[in-house]
Amino acid sequence: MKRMVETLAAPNPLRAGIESDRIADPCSVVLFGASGDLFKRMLLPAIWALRLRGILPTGFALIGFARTKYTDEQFRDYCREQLEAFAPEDSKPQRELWNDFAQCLSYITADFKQTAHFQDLRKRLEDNDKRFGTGGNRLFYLATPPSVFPGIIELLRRANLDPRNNEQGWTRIVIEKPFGTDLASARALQTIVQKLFGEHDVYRIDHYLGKEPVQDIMALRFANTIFEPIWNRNYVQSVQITSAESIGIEERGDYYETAGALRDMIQNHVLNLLALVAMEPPVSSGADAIRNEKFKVFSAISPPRHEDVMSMSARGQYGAGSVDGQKVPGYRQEPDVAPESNTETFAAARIGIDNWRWAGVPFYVRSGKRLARKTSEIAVTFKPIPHRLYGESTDAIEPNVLVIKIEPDEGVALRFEAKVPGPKSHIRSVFMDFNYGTGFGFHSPPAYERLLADAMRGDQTLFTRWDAVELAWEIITPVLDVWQNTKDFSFPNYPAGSQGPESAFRFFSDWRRL
Amino acid sequence: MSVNVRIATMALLVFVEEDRLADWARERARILASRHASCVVVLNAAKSEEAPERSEDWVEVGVQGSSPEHVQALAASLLPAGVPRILLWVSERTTSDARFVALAPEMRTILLDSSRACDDASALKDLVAFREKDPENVSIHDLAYLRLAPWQEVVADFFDERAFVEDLFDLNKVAIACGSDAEGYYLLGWLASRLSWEPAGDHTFRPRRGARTIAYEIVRDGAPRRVRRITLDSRATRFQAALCDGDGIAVNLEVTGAKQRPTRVAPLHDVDIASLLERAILHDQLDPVFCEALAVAGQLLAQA
Repeated sequence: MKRMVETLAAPNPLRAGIESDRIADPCSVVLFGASGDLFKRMLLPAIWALRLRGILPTGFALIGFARTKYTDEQFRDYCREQLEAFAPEDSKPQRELWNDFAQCLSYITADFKQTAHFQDLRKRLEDNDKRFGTGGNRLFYLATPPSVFPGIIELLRRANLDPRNNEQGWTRIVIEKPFGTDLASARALQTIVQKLFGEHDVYRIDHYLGKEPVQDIMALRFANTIFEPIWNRNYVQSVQITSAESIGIEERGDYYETAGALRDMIQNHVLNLLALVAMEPPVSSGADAIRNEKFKVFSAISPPRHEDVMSMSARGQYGAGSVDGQKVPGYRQEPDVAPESNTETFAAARIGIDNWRWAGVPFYVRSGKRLARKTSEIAVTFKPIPHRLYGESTDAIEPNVLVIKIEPDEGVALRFEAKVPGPKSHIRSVFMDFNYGTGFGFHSPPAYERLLADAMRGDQTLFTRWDAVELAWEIITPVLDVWQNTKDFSFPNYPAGSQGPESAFRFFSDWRRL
Repeated sequence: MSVNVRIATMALLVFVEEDRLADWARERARILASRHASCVVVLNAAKSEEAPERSEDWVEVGVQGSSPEHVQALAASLLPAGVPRILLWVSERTTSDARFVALAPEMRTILLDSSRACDDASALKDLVAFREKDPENVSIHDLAYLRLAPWQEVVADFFDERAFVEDLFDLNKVAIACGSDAEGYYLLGWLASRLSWEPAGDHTFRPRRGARTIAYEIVRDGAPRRVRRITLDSRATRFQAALCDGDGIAVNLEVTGAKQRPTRVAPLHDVDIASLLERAILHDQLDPVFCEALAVAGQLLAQA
């Protein structure tokens, strides 16, 4: 069936003022790695959900581009099977809607090294423009192993699929994290990317930033007046950022052996959280205004000197242990992991931000696998009271703590001191606890839904800009260097299901209990 | 004796006139309160006043035969201070009811449904009269209009294609099939206000500029409060969006005639009532598009 659609350039008078969730431009999305795990578990259900929620434009087409051999028809069947398996129960493909959507799906069996296959892709995209009214707009999504990113980008160039050769519409590229494996490889990748794409065409995805509670950090800070006056070195004692998982590396031994906790979590997720907590108020909610402020935070962090790395950081690797009552193997016993591996599954560090607002306030960050509990949170600990008036002599008067809960609970909690009722003046800590689940009974849409829609409509707010990526690599490079060049003979140094290695508590004893 | 509140983002006052609608109203209030932590006060005009039935964030009290002043005082005593107050009014008579008039000034947002208690246009006429008397002061939302958002979307979708823009300004007939009157008048009102058509009597519109006429008809077909089909005819082309058979989650979009296109199927994005209420609450100002659609609907009703 042929669909000749030329989309409207002039405003449609019926669109004025009506409430609509449709936000995406007409476009073709090319999924490199469409037979892989990320596509079937995350991206395809997200695209289908966008379709059901009316966010996908009428002019839309999806092209799978991967090594596995499929015809278009087989690819459609494959997509339907994956949606049956991975889409939420209330979003399974219904007959009429699915049949209509399936027409927009096609597939190219491809070798990522063959120029001819990219020329086939160009022809398919041109056909889509005529058939589906995608208006020359193209979104290339690299859901492949990072090792093939450079090759794909080079062949896009040879097939004239870069933005400079697209006079009709826009061409954008979405690149999954990690962007490089260290500072040098990130710069090398960026050199290749920027030959073809301007920064405004590049969407470096860190799905963590699409999570609703992460987005809410800015709302908490800048949609309220009560926090900002005390959000500085005069009142804040320290900040702890934790991203802990109780699961292990699952089937990703190959990847994890080359990554480790520092690259996998600290360089991107955790530093991005730190930037959102520490940044100055942006002048607007626009993408560049926010990303400018995040960049300034990273600029104010001095990479540690090599000789200081051991005293301001800790690493760990889990051994066998018990999680949720189940015995689990150690990291070195996981599939595709070297029996003498030196890869860290836990990383912690103290980071200082050298600016007027935060000078002298330590930011403690940690991330690890196979810890006691899955928890992502930011805890802002305020300074102790200057003079004690209340409380019996045995009472400890704890500092106030504001906790921004990201996973698994989503919300905000404030710890403060209260008098225990009775004739004595005992003081006890109490929590004022707000959960999004009880405050707002919404189910936040999965992060990929939000991020895909943003990429289609050209909103880069939740994507990382190259200058910030580069600085984040610069910040952790000395730690990477020291850790790579110094084998840790204590590994494995924490049992699965524990609070992490002892060494983490040596440079900071007050980690919040997991 | 206000409601006990743990976390509240708003206070929801539900006024329900008839017992047959009480469960419907309670259920919607419950869903809404589960999404936006709220304290809920239900004033039930089908029950005589007794001691309030109270659970944690919920109070229900009978107000059968109570004067408007008493209803107002009761609401004031039950609703907590410091959070926005939302009135969900469920009654056949709407804005001509003295109890409504007594409660309205205390509310930030008022939600009503002009096709819930009746399937003719009487409640809509009532709302038109209220808006004419009080054009600015009350942020009022009608579920009968809010429910049309998915249909507005599919109709607008036809004309996103550049080739069809000229047809939009060449329409000569609009036919709407729906299960109650308010939806039909609202859809006509919305189209006419967007396209600068004025009611010209005898079931026609006339563009503000130009001499042609656009005939319209509303056909009663399908379940109450649901649109079944909308058909727009230009001289050369017919555009029709019609519910697919089955559970009504999708619409067939057909373009036939000179500029024929293959039939498409689009999700209807049928939004549940609680989500519509929520949408109204989150947009606490009067929607100008709604106001214009209502004004035209009022003119059509005056001519009917």
